[in-house]
Amino acid sequence: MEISDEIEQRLVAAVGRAAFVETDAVSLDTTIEDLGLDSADMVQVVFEIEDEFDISLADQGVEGVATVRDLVALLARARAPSAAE
Amino acid sequence: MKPVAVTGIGAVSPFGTGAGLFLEALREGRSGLRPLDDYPGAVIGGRADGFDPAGHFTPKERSRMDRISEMVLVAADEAMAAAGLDEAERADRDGLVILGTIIGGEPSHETIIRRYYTEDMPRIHPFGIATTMPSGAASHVSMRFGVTGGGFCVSSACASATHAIGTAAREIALGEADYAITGGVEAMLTPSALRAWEGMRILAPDACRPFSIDRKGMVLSEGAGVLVLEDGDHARARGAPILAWLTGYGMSLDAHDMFLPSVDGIRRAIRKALVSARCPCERVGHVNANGTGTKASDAAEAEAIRAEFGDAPGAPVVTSTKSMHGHALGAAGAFETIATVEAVRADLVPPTINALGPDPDCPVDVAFDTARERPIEAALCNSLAFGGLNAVLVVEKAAA
Repeated sequence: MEISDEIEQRLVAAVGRAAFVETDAVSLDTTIEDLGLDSADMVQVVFEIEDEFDISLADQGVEGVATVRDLVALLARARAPSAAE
Repeated sequence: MKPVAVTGIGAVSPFGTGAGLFLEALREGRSGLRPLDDYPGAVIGGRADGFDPAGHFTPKERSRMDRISEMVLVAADEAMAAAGLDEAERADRDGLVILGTIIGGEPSHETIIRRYYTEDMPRIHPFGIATTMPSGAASHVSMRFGVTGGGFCVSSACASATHAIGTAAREIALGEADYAITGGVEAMLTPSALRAWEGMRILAPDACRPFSIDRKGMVLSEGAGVLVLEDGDHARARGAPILAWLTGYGMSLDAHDMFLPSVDGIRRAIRKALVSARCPCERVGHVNANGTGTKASDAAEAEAIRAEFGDAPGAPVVTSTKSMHGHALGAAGAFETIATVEAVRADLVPPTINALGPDPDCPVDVAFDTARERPIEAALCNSLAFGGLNAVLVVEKAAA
């Protein structure tokens, strides 16, 4: 499913909240390493995104996430019609 | 019990952040209890309003800890700084963290419960369990100071901190550790918890008046009290300030009733503490009483003290500092042990304020209204909990 700019911005803001950094400091190319997030922090990131979009992200998908762009892809998969079945 | 040195104290209390503010208020007979503006019920309480966690922790740190951990870490920072137990001093030393709390991270717990019951498909914050669990407070303190010798949180209702301090002292006396960060913490002034306390019909509507006629009950408060305890040789070898000695610890169970105290149970805890300290009754100049301000508990405690010490002119002067700092629940025993350490150090019994007159049912010498000077070689700190869990500490003067 296509992800709009508005949704991308909401996701970036959610990541910023979970990582306790200004939204300006987060872009699609920002890496998880850049943000200094450990595995517990990533659980918090997933929580913020799920809460923002009232959605469930696949647990197995989070493992391979390296950048914010990967989180957008994860969100797109979760929002795809097939994911809702 | 081999005497254990008290080398540092720290407090977050209704009087603000710092043991100095706490002790100054007690000396002056000032109350930290006032109406709880953000609570619709008819109770007063002692919120630690002067404590600003945002000034001590980053938002990220705060997302991983409950208010109890915030308060206890700040109190522990103060106590460790006062003791001078810095990183170099701690190296190769076995330390313990033993803290008391009745219910643990109640603010975090309430957030979970509120969200669960008010949303259709609630998502609970991933750190909800870690922030709620009582032992989180001990874990945070261990991580802050790199304490590795062992630790846990004790939960024994209103005696939690006293059991924690007594246990820590005994571990050190047995040679199991060089030092301990101990005390207690509570943050139970949440709307739902206050409502539950109100349901017990034991909260005073206006003031806490221990041992007074017409006393109406207890007043709740919150905060953290921390003491650094050390093996005496360890403390002396590094030239640490020794505020007082913790020389005895006794505990008992009433095995009687969930709410009504037992004179016999209280007396057995006092006796065991004195025996543990090898301290004769004549040495005891002061008792920091549990003195909640409830009808039955104060009368039973006074009767137990009277039975143990008699009523001769030298009998200990009793006080309840709860009249000023309120009943801080899991932190109560820590606040009161700190008050007892200072009383012994300064030869000054802090007052029991708000009295309307002595109660004939409480036949002990209470320091009503104003602090009372008297030489204090040894003092007791009593904590008596719902369900009959009693703990008593003996604190003795350190050579000047």
